[in-house]
Amino acid sequence: MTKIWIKTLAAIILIGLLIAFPKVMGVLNTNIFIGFAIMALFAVSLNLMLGYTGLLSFGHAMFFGLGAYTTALSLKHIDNLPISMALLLGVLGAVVCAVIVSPLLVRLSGTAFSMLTLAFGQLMYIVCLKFREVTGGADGLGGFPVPDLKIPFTGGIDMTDPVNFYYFAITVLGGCILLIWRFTKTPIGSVMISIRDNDNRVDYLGFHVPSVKSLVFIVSGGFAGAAGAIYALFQNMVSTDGVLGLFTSFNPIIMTIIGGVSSFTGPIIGAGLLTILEEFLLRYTDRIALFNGLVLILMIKFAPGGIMGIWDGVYRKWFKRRTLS
Amino acid sequence: MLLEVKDINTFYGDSHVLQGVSLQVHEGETVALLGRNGMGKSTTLKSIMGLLRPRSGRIVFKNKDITKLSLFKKARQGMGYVPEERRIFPHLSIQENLLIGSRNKTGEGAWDLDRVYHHFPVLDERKAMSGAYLSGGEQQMLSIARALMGNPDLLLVDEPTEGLAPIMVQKVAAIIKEISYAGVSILLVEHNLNAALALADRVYLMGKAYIGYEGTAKDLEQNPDIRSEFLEV
Repeated sequence: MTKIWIKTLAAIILIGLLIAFPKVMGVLNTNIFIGFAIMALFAVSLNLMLGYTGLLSFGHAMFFGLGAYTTALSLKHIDNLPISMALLLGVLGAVVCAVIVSPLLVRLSGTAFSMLTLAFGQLMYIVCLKFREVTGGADGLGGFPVPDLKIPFTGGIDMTDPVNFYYFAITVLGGCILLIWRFTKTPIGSVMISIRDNDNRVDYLGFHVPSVKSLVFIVSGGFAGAAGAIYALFQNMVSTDGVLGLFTSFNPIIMTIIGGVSSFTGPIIGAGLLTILEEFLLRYTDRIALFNGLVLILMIKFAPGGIMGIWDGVYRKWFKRRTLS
Repeated sequence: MLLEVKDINTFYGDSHVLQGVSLQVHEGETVALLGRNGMGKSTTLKSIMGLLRPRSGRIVFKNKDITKLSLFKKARQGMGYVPEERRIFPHLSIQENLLIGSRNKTGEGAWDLDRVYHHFPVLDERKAMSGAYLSGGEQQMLSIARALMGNPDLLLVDEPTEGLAPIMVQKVAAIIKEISYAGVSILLVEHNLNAALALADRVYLMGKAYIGYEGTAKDLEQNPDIRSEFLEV
């Protein structure tokens, strides 16, 4: 069977499994899956900067949070706003934020970049915390309407129904992940990897490195905003600690490192593993961060390439043996 | 005149590493910059390209003053740079390494993948492989080919044969000759005198931070005193 057929078959099986998931696994697991998919998109968007461009952001929650707050606020204050528009406004909010802060960040790299993103992330957290009249402060913003999904020639689809929302969320999140994947396959994808390897070399090939970094920063922020917007619709509740806190920035980093920084699927696998771990541990303790930290330490110590690094090693060894024998 | 460097002075901190260096490259010409280690040959190329900023002097390229132009703009003006130590992108395939350098021209006479693969068949054979798996000489070819994909009018090549086995030195020298025949002007920094004399139309010899001699490759070949003064240890 040719490679293209294998890929097509795998895609059909995956889509089939995603369609069947709520019917087979029930509402509770369906909701857990949506939570995983949101974090997967968030981590994949972060990895555009971390894995592809070599920029470690400690403030990625600002985009996730702005996406969530913009969607929640627009649904609260604009009557009859379609759900798709609320989602787009969430993305737009994150993109505008990225456009504003990127000129200050893109000429930096290494520790300076990480520290300044941390500062901006915390600034956003404090602003939303103190701006109580609009954001609800520490209590958050909840109970905003989640409108039906309007599709021409059909009636509206009730988005408060968990199964309906699952199909909507998975379509949007999966679509976003596919778009990011396509983005990494454009020439810009090669330039991003080259910047990570050595930005001086990219400069003398005629690329303006800060402009490329800026583009990556905006794209990455926009997709993080999309994840935040879906999170707001899913939870019907947005709070500073939930979407802008330090852990919200650290979680996708931990997921990406555990899954494998140098691969596109690594962050998705990391998000899946941590979601499963969290659901398992919640039966016994609420000290989830402690165990996440432990897994991170073990991973960095024994498998710095993450799960995908382990997989690559096993695959190469197996493949080599097969071709030699 | 394609490139004119006029009296540039470059510093590393307080060290005055280029003292009034001037040189010219005409269209279609291959010019070699020779000298002992530490004389400032690579620094001259870096100053022209913009990796180092001269404190004074002018660099004129295609009749435009490009002294203060940033690195990426110089590349877009048609200046290609092949750095020392074959700096390729190890996480990209050979073809991706080439495509990232692609810019400027299309149509006949343009350096595109087909033309590059024609001149560098070893890269064609391994185009899907990571550049990191190539030998030193093959990486050097990739580095030169990547610069050519930018369709430069002038190629600055820094020590292309350094650290290569004699057989690879011959291959790299043959490639540079081919590029020169194809009409690309070349400013070459080289430590290997024989390779440089075989490739260059004109040569500049560098003393400590200054240009001490200018002449044709033929003149230098016939002038052992000058060779001894500037090149022998």
